[in-house]
Amino acid sequence: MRKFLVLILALVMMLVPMVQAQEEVEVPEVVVERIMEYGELIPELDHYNTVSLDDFIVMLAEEEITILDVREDAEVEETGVIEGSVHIPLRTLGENLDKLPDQEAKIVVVCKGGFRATIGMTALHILGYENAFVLVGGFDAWVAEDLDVVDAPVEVEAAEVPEAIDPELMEYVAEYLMNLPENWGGVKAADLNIELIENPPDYLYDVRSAEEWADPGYIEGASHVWINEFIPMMEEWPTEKDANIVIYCASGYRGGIASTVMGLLGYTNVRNLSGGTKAWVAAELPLVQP
Amino acid sequence: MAPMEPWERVWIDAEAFSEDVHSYINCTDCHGGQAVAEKDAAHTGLKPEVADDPETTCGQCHVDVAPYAKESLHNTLRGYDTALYARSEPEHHPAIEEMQSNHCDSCHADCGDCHVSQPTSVGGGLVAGHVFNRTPSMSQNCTACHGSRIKDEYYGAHEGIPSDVHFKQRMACVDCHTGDEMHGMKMEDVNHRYDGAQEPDCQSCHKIEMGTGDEEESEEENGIIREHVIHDETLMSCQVCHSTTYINCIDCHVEQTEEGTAFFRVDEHFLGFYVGLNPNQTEERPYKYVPLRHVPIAPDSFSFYGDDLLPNYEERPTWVYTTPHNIQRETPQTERCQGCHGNDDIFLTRDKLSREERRANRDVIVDEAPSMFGLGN
Repeated sequence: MRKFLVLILALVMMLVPMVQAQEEVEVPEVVVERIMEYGELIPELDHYNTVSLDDFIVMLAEEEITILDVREDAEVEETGVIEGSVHIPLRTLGENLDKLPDQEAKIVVVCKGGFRATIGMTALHILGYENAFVLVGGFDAWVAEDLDVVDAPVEVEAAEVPEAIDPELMEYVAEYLMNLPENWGGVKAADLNIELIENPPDYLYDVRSAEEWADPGYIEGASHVWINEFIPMMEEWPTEKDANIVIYCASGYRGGIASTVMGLLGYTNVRNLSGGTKAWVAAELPLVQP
Repeated sequence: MAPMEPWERVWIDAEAFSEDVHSYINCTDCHGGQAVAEKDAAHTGLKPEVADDPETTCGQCHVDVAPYAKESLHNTLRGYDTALYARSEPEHHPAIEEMQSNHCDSCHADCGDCHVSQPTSVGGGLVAGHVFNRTPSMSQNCTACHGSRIKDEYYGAHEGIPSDVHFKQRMACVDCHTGDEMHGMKMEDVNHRYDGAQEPDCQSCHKIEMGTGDEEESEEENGIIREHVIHDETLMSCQVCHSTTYINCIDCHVEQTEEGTAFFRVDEHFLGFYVGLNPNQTEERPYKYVPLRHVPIAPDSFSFYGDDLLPNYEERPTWVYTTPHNIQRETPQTERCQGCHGNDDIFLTRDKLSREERRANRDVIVDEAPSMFGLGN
């Protein structure tokens, strides 16, 4: 009987670290490699591959581009889409790469305001679609200019997934997108301020440039890590993968890139300030200057 | 946030709770019942509300606080009695008490409601696995009850109306509302939240701007704002100039479902800002002018519980002195003198009231906005 109890105890003791280990996502090496490559590419990207509405209209006129609308089905049914859009809801993007053109093609990702599209664009970059862009202001910006919409997206025949995409990478990114949280990992300015009063996040990262950090200033309590240096400094990121992390930039795009990358690297509690410091200031919340 | 499962609401986190000093107390010492394994026996003598009488539970250790907390407005809800009894007669009180018991008493807050559990509006159950919070949480306790008026104003939830300047400076409720105040330790025999001295008092922080700093120095050296000297506290409360549009409730009735179950309905409200007269100028609150907020009461609000339960409806204003939680440094009133002087729009004048409400509000109505050339009223 005693031997039996010792055996049970030993089994329990073996299981405890296994249970704890399961909580931490195991990130495939290929994902880390791709993210590091992306980190080196980021400083070279013009406006971090965000496209203003004006530039987007020029692109539509002059170039062959794929418009990828990543909003939910109900949103698309309610509002229609920009003519020629391919519609793949963000959470299913990783499973529908066979509906996208080749990896060299220019893809402009569109959502309602730009938040989800940034996640989609970042995921596409990690998958090797280096000409993926995001429309600043999203579909709302398009509609605000009274530009035409059509009822339905284009039907796309599924083709082959590009062979260059590592299957393990594809599966991992698809899983990540599928499990995006209900609010896409965003936090509103007023809600962040409530948290800063009551239960501040473990880490608050400002990924804007040094010039922006100095003027108009930063959110008190933040640490400054420029987006261009964010990924190369990966080894200095928090060791606790479940740390409560909030990232912000000026409008939410660079913050979206950084938070998506951290999420892909197994950080389970990373959020991006919706609308960045512009939304923070619009809510009349204060910035401090160094 | 996903709603919690019922078991999650009452889940006691053994590891976390063992770090709490209250873990040294037997469960039965506070909750009653018996410390035995058999359920029915264990539940015999269980107290449904642990801190209904704070002195016999929490007060066994917190002797300095519990006697006061027991008599505090949070625990007694005496403010409701004050407001309702003034509009009724003693023979109506039993019916009103029944109504309060069914519809108002859920807002009653005992020790545990602030320090260990949270209201149903934010999920209910325990805040953190029965771990006690010395300081109540702004979002999980205070604003979970004080929601539509305080929370939405303070957080800036009304579209186009900014959050309170103190929220922007990351101040929590407890930064102004001290434990002494919340536990009713500041004053005895309080029958309404505006009884007694202004607490918290703006001047306790804003001494310099209010001209209550070092009187030996000149106004300029002292940083005194001239307008504060001209419009001193005998003339108006701080909120007259520094608050902005807030929510006012109109209609409030006890209704019943098709099955006959009574429920409380407040379905009309509007945003507005109105200054009127303080009907109860006291030494501690000498302000002549105060912001007024419409409270949700009508002569037939409680007719479900009996006819004409509020025969003295007109004995108390329906526009009452208020202290909105949307304080701004700059408001239309501070922008220029004409923001108030000669501007009838922001004063509660007779023409803004329905005929039925005029008598009830006779003591708070302003005839006309104060003139730029000598004060009216």
